[in-house]
Amino acid sequence: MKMTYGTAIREALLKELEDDKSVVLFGEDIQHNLYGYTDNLVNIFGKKRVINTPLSEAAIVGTAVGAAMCGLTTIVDLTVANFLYVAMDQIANMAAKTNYMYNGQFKLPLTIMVSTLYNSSSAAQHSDRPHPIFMNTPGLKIVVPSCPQDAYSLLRSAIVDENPVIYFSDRSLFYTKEDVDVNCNIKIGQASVLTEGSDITVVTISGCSKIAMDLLPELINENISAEIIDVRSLVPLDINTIKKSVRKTGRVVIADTAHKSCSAASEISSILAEDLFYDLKAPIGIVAYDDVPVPFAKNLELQIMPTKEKIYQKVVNIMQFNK
Amino acid sequence: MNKNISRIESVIKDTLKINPERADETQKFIDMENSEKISLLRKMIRIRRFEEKVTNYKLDGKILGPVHTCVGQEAVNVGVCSALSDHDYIVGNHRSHGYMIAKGAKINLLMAEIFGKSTGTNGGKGGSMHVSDISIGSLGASGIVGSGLPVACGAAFASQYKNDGKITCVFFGDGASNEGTFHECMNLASIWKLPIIFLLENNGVAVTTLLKGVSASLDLYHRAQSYGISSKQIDGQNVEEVYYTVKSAIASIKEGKGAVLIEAKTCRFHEHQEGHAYLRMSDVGYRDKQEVNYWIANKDPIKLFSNKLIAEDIIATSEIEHIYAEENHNIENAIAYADISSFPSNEDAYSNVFIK
Repeated sequence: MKMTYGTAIREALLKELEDDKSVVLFGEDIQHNLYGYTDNLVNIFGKKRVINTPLSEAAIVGTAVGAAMCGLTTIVDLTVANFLYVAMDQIANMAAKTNYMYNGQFKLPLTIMVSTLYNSSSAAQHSDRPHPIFMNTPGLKIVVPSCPQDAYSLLRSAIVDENPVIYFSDRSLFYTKEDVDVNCNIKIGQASVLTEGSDITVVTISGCSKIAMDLLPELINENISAEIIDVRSLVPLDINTIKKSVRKTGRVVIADTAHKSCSAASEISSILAEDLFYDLKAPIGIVAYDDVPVPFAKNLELQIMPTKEKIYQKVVNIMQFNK
Repeated sequence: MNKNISRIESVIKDTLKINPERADETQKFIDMENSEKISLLRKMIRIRRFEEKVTNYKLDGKILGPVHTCVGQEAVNVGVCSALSDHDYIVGNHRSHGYMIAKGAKINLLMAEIFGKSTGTNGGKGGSMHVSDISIGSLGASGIVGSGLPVACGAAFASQYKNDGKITCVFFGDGASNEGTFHECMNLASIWKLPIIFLLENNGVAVTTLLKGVSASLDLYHRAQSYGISSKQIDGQNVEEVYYTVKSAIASIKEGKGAVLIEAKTCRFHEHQEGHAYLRMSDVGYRDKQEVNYWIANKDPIKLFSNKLIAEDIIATSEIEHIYAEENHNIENAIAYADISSFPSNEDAYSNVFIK
């Protein structure tokens, strides 16, 4: 079935709500969502399962934690990724630590959904891609789907997972469209090799995967055989797939939508430097947001964000490096 | 001397100025059986003895990390948890040993957890601040002030959704009443009519910060009114009053009237935490020592209830002494159990980050 990324999210929610009556969906504007990914769900499942909440992020996330501890499967939509910060204590101190500090007495089937809105003139407080903050918070799974199929399958996997999962949808991909196999199950923690190659590995996170794939014809033109990998989830991270590729190519560029310092890209880079030092033929390249808050003016955001041109240039540079 | 005592009495009277209509609800209930009353006394004594042991072992360096005891506040723990049924949920905070014991936790496992042993309620991964035991309805304890309230709302939501008849009670203090979660959760519980009791233990002090310096009102139960939640202020040193008020709240919730806030006025006899560093804080003058001593002498919940039961001929002094002896023995056993238990294996550090 052909569907957009946004529709894929809706279809996944619909399917899980249908399959299991213990699934409830909390959210801000969830009954009448502007972006359509909860369209009509309230009419199908009722206000007791598709619940409009007050703008009380801490209370909502904590409520979803408590309800999950007591046998429900909870989904919270906080909409914009920056709103995670408002609920930070409940996410970092409660959701992330419940399994561990109570030593497995509870299951915590909780999914927190947010969208990242970068490159959309949303300015500093609505444009963050804060997945690295949560990578440094043990106890949370993190998924970053980059195509409709992954958006669908990974959301379903997140919902049925008995651990807290933060699901970062990428708003820049919302209207991408492709065939989605609704029976395709993707486990959290499996990277995807989007295209095989032998010269260089390009590891991508979230929306960077589409940018890298758009770049492919130009790379082929330059006679560069790139292996593009989409991590799909950051916790757990499928580092083996990445390592296998880098062992083969000896060169790697990592493209991340996050700010560069302590990013997913820098973490992957650190692992590769630690474990594959002798396999590397060149320094590891990183393309990410520069370390400044996201500016409003279009040209300023383009200046600091990972673009097609920047990834291309980085790949070319790494390819040209000789020891 | 007399002038001083009368000054303190007037301060106490002021601190303990409690809503005069509060006693009415208790008339709805048939008096407890004498055996139940004795059971309340026994539980308070068990908690007191447990906490005194914990205090000593912390001073001796046998217990590591932050440890908060509830000495002086036992009537709240026992009155509330005795009114709840076994399957009802409780959500605790940093000062949670008392609720756990009152709800029926096995003291051996609780002590082992506080000692950081593999046999503890949390396998040694939680410690004093995070004691948890789902088998007695405990949904854990959070050391972050105010952060248990949202989780409790979730438990209450689950009960309402499943219609399982359970009540959730969340314990927090006057310090937490200034957290945003308190206000968010009062509103949420009210609009969703959640089956939840907000149990506010107002001991008038958050670590060393007095409530009167940081709150516009000393009567925190008033705050519930703006959220449309029924609330009551009670004497937290009177275990029967706590018990009957919670019974009444449960009845009201079961009638479908939604969440209730109970503000129990009480006193923290010890410092915020146990240990030498905090012991020194008792001399820095952040609160009136004479006032605390007055509470200890005149408002000790165990002394008050013992005297009442003796006066009513429900129990003899010798029987109370017998209870003390038995509970002492039980606590000694718990210490021995915790002491001989092994620490978790190093590999355990990596388990249960995620449930498989």
